[in-house]
Amino acid sequence: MKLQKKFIKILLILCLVFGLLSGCSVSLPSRQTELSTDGLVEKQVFEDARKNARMLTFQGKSGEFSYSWFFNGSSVSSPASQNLKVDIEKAGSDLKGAVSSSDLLKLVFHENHLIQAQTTLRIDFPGRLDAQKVRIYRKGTEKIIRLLEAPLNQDKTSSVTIPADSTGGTCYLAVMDSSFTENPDRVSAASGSSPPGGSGTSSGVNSGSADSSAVSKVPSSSAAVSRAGQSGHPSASRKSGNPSRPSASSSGGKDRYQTDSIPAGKPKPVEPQDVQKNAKKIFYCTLSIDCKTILNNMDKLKENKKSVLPSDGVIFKSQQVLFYSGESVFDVLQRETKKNGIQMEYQSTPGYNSSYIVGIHNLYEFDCGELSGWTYQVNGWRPNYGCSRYLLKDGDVVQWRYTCNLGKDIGDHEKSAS
Amino acid sequence: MRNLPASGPDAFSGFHPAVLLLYFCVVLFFGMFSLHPVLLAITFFSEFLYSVLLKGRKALKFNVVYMLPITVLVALINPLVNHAGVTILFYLNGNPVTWEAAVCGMVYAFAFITVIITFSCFNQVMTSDKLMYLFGKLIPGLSLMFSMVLRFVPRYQAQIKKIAAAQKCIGMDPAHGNWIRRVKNGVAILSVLVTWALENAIETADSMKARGFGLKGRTSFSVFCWRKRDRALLTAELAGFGAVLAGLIAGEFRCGYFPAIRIAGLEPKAAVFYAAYALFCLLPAAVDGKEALTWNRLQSAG
Repeated sequence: MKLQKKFIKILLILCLVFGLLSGCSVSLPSRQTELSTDGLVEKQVFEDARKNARMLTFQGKSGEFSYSWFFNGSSVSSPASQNLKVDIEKAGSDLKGAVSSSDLLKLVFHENHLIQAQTTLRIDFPGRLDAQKVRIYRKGTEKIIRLLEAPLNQDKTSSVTIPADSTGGTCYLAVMDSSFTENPDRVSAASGSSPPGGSGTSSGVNSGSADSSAVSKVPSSSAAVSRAGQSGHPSASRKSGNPSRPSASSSGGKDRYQTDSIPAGKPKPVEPQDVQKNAKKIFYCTLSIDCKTILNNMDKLKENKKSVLPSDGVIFKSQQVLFYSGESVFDVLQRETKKNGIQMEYQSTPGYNSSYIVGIHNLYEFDCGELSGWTYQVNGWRPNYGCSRYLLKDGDVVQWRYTCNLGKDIGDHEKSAS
Repeated sequence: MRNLPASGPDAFSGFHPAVLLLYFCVVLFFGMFSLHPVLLAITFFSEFLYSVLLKGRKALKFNVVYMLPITVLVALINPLVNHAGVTILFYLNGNPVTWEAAVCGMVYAFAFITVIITFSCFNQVMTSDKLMYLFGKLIPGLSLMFSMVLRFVPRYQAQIKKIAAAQKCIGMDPAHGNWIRRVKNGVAILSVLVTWALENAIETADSMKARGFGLKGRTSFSVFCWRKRDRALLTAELAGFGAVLAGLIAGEFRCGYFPAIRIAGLEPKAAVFYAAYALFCLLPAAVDGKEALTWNRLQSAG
């Protein structure tokens, strides 16, 4: 009798464990599938994925390289049968004279017209590459067209995640290692991109370190990047990517720090942890801090803050201040307020990878109405990302301005007009 | 017999509950809501004194061992999280540490422990029969529940001991056997306790209902009666409270710590209000002191 009870108990526990395990596996939102040798994926698979809004992952292998497709099921708009096979091989002398690198690969896609979906492709290299980025090219009629630049994810082995709508047909992948060269006469950026002024060298501004100059090249392919950004799926890239690397080129409408796309011609955010500061290189910028908007909204200002309000609304008169190579707007604000005995409080917000300025000169956010707070402008533009991510250039004009109406009272209309 | 004060830990708690309640309400109000340093200092010292008068060495130990570290902790935390203020002392982790935030932290810390000490006195003086007497008519259900809840913990403790002893008698001791057996026995005791508690609650409710608790026109027994000295104490309380209220309305107790410290009422003429508040706060100590004097005089005379 007792034995029987024990047996039933064990049975029950086993059932519970299995139930839990199976429940877990069912609740997993993604499904991994090995690609068949011909690479064909039936329409039915995509239809199911769309219905269940589930992530689809297909893994394939070509020679020593393996690759994975990521489909965001909910974004599939027209399911169809697809051939997802990709042949990856050494490019040999295909791009001779234009691009050279010790790792130059040729990617041959078996089907060009992919279904409309948020799709990314990850390519896993067999070993660890000694490089930071790769560039993707396609042969044009006269020149080689540079489609995009993507960061390498360095794990045990290297991998790269690229948005898949920029691929198709035959593409070339060049790893930007020490042997990488690009002949500007034979390579052009993807059509519609900004003029190639910023490509190659970073036009001499704040090129303190190799790292920052590499980063400041990013805007040169901004059109390709933002185009790619619309199609890449954030969760797919996060899944495959190394989380410590910023993935500006392979995410969705927003980057991983919640920043929307940056208007053309404006500098991209630069992650402070990626920049090396160099105290030997000194530059100058113009800094000013004012709260003139409060003077027009005196009725909203908190009673106890009236004692700290300057009569002309100027807290820090516009003047030239020095900064060091690799410093951000935040670094300069912090140094100057400290130097001049101006109270300034900031909060680190890891979600935006930036510092948030809560108050300057004891004038805090929400002190002058619930829409008030500190904002910054560089050369008249109010960036849509945090001040720690704005890498300063020589001669920049930085204005810290207090707004009482979410920036609409300090020239936000100018921005929308332009 | 009629002139014997109701029993309590000291002379002050023998007064009428309404007078006592008024005193604690006013002190707690100012302790919680006024961050004026002078008022706070008065409240703190008078309540500290009264707690020692009430509980002797135990209160002294409680105040030093538990309250002092809390004071230091709160006083230190505030300048670390609050960086507002015009006087920058130094920078910590890029943010300024200001004199105003440090002072404000001290004030918060003292307000905090003042309220705790006042409540410890309140619990000694305002026993549940006094609260029942005051609120039994006004909110009968709530005050019954309140007094029952106050009894719960000691009552359950006593009952669980009884149940454990009975279980031990029938060989279900939670302290013996392998761990499964022990857990089983322990759970059995808990289950008995819960059953008993539920049944007991229903019985209490039925019993109170049978006695007509909360019905209109029902009177309840109490040992409290209004005496001459209650009237005297109430008059003193009202006078002190009125003076403090006048000071409050005159703006003598206004203070702010940010962005700069501004404290009103530091001129000599405000001393009147502080004196009034100090007299009010020290009433229990004064009553106890007078009682002790009388007692000594009677003894030496006898």
